[in-house]
Amino acid sequence: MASSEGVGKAPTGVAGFDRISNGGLPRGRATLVCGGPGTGKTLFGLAFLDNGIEQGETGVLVSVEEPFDQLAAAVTSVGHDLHAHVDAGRLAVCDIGIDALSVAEVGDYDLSGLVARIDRAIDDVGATRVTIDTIDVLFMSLSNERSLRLSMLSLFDHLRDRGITTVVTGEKGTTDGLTRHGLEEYVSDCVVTLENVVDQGLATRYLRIVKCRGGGHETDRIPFFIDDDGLQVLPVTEAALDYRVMTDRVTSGVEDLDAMLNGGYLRGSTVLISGSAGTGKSSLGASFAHAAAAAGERTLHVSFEESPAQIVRNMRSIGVDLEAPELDSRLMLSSVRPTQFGTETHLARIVRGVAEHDASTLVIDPVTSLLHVGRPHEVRRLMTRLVDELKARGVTAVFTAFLREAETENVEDVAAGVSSTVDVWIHLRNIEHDGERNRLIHVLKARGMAHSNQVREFVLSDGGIELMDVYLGPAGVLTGSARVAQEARDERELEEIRQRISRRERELETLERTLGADIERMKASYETQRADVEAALAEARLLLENKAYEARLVARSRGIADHG
Amino acid sequence: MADQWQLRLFTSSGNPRSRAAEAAVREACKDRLGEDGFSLEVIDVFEHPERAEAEQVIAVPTLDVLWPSSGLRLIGDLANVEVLTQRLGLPRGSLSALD
Repeated sequence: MASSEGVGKAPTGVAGFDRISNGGLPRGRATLVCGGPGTGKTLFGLAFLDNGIEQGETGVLVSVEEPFDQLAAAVTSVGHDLHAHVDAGRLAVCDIGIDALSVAEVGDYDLSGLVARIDRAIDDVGATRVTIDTIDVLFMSLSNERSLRLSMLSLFDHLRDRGITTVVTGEKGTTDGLTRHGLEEYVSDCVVTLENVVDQGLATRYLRIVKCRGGGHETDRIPFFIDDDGLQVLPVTEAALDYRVMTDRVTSGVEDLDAMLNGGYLRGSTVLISGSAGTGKSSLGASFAHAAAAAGERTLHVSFEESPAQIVRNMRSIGVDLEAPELDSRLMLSSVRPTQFGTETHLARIVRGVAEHDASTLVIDPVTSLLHVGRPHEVRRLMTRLVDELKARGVTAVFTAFLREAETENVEDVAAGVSSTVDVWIHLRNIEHDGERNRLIHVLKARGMAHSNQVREFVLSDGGIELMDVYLGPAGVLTGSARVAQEARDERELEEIRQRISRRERELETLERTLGADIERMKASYETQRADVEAALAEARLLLENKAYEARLVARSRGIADHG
Repeated sequence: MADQWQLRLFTSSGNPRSRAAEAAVREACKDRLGEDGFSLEVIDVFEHPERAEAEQVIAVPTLDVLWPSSGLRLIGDLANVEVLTQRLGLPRGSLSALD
């Protein structure tokens, strides 16, 4: 049974693992799964058997550490019913009770007894898969290391010759080497390590494929978790590169915000709504959930702060009915206490919730409940994985992010880890003025879409959410009644100015009219005076001419007398 | 015989130590218990894996003492007769030497 991802891989059925291992474990070979106590290596080995059997294979469990009944009981709670497989003849068990006997070692030996028993079990059910858990126990109980090493070599040769896909669990080494007893020397086709890292009081499990024949596997340390559904690996998907880019819009639930975003959120995008307490981010998130469900989207709303009943009540007060019959159970509200699980488990439960509800829309309120526990780079990784997973599924997601009031000043720093992974970032802010608290909304980022970068006032009323234009004046941004008062003041001022203008206009008209009259009068006076002056001038000129004539006459008559 | 030592040896066909172990056990027992002083059952694990399973056998050779003491198990090639004799708690002194 070859996996679709590649020839020669046996799918483990462990959620996520087959994706990061490029199809599963090398078929017909042995895989070493090593880790410290409680890291989940036994569960991995059992899941490999159980899932293989569910897919039509058959298996053998060689239980060296714990009696089978004890193992089977321990994994019932995570969904593996091993007894049923035994009853159905699809699983055979070899209980290796090493501690039951007092054994004295006299000389060299081999483990043919073990091999014969495993062979018998394989033949019983025609097994294709074998899990040996935990083979190290043999090294702890027996002391002839040379005999053990030679026996291990022949055991794994034997299983390989029989074409059995084997999982061998081993205890993690304390110093160098992957395992305490150097098992990696015998099982070299594939090695997987599991670890449980406790950081800041919270444990995170990690899985790493150290090597795997055939290659093509993820080499990073990948977080995984164990819950009711067993072991699940949540990789950063390679699908990150080929998301379907969608261009249709999903309403944000607020008409005015849709307008600011040029039509709403892009389908499949991830939206961050940040803000301090009481800024209305939860309401904005829940409004989106309501609008999406109303528009036919299957929607999951995950709250870390309030119960579904509280959310319904809160939203009813602003006229949004999350239980409206027309939503037709498309909207699913779920509440989880942040402290209930580790970060990884929360994350994976959300992803699973999305899958189970077949949701195309997700709201997490607030996502910071998941993030405040980790170191910044872990948070980034976590967010990247979550966002990748959602994008791969084409889910439109709104995350609210709680920021303390003090952080809102440098919001870009605080949310930087998160903001780089989201497509749209909307920031809500409280401002206080005249003893009144008002809300501002600002689209800080909107990847790949035209958007308004205006600051608007965000108003929660019993009619839902509305955005108002804000007053941007010399005193800064004004909102609420201050804005209303200012607007009234503005209106009065404008009216006064208008009146002043018309008054001046009238003055000007008057002036012009006066000027015209004056000009006419002065013109008339000028004409009169000019006529007078011209007459006088003409008279004077005539007089001058007469005088000159007279003088010439006198001179002539005197000249006659002198020469006469 | 009521006071016969009861011994059981698990062997495997492919393991040369098996024959050596069987020979060593027979020799030591014959020497200390006499020809009729013991009975030894030899079981090949590959021929009778169900016996190996039932008796929780892992290693080959495995020698179990069922009587007079029970629950004593030795594993290994049993090549050192001195150690074997001592571990089994066989009577001191060779029967053949007393003759």
